[in-house]
Amino acid sequence: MALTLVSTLEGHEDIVWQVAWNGGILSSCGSDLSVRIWQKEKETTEYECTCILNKSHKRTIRSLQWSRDGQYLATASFDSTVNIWKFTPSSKSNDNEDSFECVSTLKGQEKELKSVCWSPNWKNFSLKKQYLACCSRDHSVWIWEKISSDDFEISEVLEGHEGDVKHVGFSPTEPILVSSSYDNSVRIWSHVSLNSDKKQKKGNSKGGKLVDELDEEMEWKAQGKLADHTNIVTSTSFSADGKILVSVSADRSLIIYEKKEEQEQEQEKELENVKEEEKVKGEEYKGKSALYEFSSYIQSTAGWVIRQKIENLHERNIMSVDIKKDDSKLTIATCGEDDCIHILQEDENNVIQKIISIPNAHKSDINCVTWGENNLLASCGDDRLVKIWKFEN
Amino acid sequence: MTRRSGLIVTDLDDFAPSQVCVNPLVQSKNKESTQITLTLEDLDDNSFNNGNGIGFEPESESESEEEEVQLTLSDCLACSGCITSIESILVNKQSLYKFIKVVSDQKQDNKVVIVSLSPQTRASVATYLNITPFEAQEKIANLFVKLGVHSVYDLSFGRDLYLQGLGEEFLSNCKKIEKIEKDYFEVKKKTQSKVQLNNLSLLLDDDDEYEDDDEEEELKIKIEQETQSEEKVSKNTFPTFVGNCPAWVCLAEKRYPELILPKMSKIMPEQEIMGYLLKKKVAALLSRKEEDIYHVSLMSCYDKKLEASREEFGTKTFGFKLVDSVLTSVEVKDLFQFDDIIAKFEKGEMEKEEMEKKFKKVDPKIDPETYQQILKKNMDNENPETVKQYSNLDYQNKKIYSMRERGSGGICEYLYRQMGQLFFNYQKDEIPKINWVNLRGKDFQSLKLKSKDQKKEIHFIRVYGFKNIQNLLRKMETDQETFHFIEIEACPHSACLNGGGQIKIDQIKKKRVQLNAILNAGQIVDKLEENYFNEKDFVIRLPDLNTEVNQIFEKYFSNENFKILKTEYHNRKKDFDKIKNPLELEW
Repeated sequence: MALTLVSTLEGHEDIVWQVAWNGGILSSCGSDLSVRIWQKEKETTEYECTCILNKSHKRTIRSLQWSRDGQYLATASFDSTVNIWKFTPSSKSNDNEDSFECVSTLKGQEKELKSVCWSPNWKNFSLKKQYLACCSRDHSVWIWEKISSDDFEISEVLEGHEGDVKHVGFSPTEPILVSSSYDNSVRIWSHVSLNSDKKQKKGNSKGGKLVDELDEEMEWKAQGKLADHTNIVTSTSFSADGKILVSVSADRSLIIYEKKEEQEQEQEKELENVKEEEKVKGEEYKGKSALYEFSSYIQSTAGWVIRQKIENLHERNIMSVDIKKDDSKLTIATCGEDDCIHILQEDENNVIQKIISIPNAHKSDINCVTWGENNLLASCGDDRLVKIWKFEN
Repeated sequence: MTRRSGLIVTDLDDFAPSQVCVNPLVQSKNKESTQITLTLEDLDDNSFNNGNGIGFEPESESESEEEEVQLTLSDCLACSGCITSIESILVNKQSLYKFIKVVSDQKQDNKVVIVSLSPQTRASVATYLNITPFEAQEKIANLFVKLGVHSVYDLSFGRDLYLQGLGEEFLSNCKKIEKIEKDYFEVKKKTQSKVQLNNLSLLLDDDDEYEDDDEEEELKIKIEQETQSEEKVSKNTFPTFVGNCPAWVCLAEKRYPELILPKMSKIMPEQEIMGYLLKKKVAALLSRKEEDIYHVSLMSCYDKKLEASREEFGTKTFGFKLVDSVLTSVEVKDLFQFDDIIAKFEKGEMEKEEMEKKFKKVDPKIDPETYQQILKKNMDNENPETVKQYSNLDYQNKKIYSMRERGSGGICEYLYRQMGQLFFNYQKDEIPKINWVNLRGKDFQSLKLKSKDQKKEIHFIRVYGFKNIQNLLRKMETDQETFHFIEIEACPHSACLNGGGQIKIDQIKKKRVQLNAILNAGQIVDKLEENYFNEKDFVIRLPDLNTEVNQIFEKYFSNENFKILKTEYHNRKKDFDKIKNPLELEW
């Protein structure tokens, strides 16, 4: 088992904050107000910077994500806007070059945006719309819905966090959004059709309405809260089957959560019992005043149970975590302000252990790690470099 | 935007160290304290202006109450920057404690207290006590009269006056714009205008970067002029936004002044119109000065308290404050709770200690002794006659006159009918039926009024809730559709009926369990809407058919007097920007 350095990509003129893969294409963004696209022409050649997108944001570009079909790139910046770029690869464009066109700008949040995330294709659910979530230092998470090839509308403004929101991520298998924040908590939000879909699947005759019939004013609601960290939760990641959630924090620990259906049902029943005691059968809360109470005092963990907690994983703040999406064994990469990259894997006893450690992977704080195809791992850091590593199992 | 129960001023994060007070205009006396204790004494006259002489009017008496400022503003547009600490002080000054004090010192201070009750508060209390809205009106009136209030009025009358003023303003603007641009209301085909990065509306940008400072100044002066001049009507006046939601006004003044303020309707909201009318009338009736009348209005949100302290509605413009204090439905519920507690005590069902404990639990600042004394003083007060005037109440049949509406006053429906008759010349029964179309859920709706030949139309939009406001502004930016009139209310689902100051669902549940009239959360919300309008307790009467309203309007607000109804808005963006980044850190 090894993690070997394959490429070091220079070019950014300031801190590189995030990297994201689109198939074999790597993109990075940073404090130099630019987005850089790195590609290999052939397997045998080196990575080259094939495109630079600058002059699109007025301040640091903090986060970027490719959409599920690889056609759009979203960049979120400290200037409180998100730019949506349409990507036409050279094979499809007229002049044999990759082209990026800024088709939309999303604005409205008041403070610096910290993270952006596209929704995946939820195969087993009736919700077929495409969403983009972004979170900000103004304690809110905004979910935008793509309504046409170049336009977005706000689907929901989610509030409840009591501190800056650092990271957002959608679950790959169900319409659930997870946000992590400076208030040491991870909050779970779900689309209102989630319960209806589940009831329909269970053959519950009361069942819910279909997504298209829902006439709700609230499209996304608070579902639960995980408050197990003792410091800022910097990043989260889902496994490919959506049943494992990993979170890392400035308290230098990593927590692995597992979703238990029975737990979820139990908690729902508990809630029901409490209401029964008050002789009132509660349903979904409508109206702002009741909703506010619910999302403030929410105690439920929405079925997530701690499977394992690893303390002192890094010597300083852990900045990012990513679960490998194409491995049968649970494989996790983390990076931190201690300039280290760690790889963890599930062993025979289903316990997650650190298997590889790369000290001084970068010359300074490492801001992001993300898995790509073919066992590649990309990382970026304050040392202005983007590095690509090859993982051998 | 946060719906947190406490507005946290000292945000600790790795960007800025904790600050004592966000507003740089305010310096707390005790700089070493970690708690925020700001009193009115800490501030001088300049604190209430934003540097150019416009601002808010605080209470004239300076009390040395060392009250801790509770920065609690449960309003969905309140955010860490929007409501400054000064505004929070102003809101907290209009407390129940203050009201009790005023009512008990009435005779000494030579004041007369009057109360006007909004239909939303009435609906909230009716749901809380499980009574009909008419009974709620009477019960609330009795409650206040027992405390020594002179008379209690129905604020839906003020709403009818507001609608009439709004209708006249909108009709006049539409006529003027048609003269300038003949095809302004013509039905246009949708143009596929793509949003280009470079062509984005400059005015929607929060951080404008003009290359030429003079250009910026010129544009600002031009916009200020357009905002304040009464006669000038241009494309910039449309679409017209209503100004009766104080949270929306706050958002517009602080974040989008250049874009929105020229388009805001200048008619002052209903509580101020009612205040003007009542103060004039009651002063004349009792042969007193308007300044001696203390007007309290019962509303469904806390931001109305802020609206009441606006300078434009105070002594500088009128010689007296139109609304002296606003109490929310929650505070009215507190008064009902006091009533209950004292009734039980006097029947002998409760010991004195327990009574005092329960009293303090509801509101720790109010002294039960003082409260009881007030009740004793006013034991013989009867409900005086004046409450029957200026109201939509039918005392004979014990019903209430109303339009069929959703929670904030039926503004669009009223204008639809007015414009149908007076602009497109339909006969009353010819006007096409109102058919709202959902643009995104029930909180973002569109209504089109077509002319007889179907060639012209007036486009009304109704928007509730912050996220839909953002969606609307975005739609306006892309310029694909033209809107002419927009009703914006900050509270989602049912606007003012769902305001931040309404009695909370769990309180209603508890009380209803006591009264053996149990309902679950969803049913309570339905009941609230019923108590705002239903076929049984209400009689449909359109506001234009209210002859009393027409008479009053004719006498006090028509022709040259129309300008009394008009107010001004101000660009408060500078304040807000300073607060947004007080240490000017670039992270």
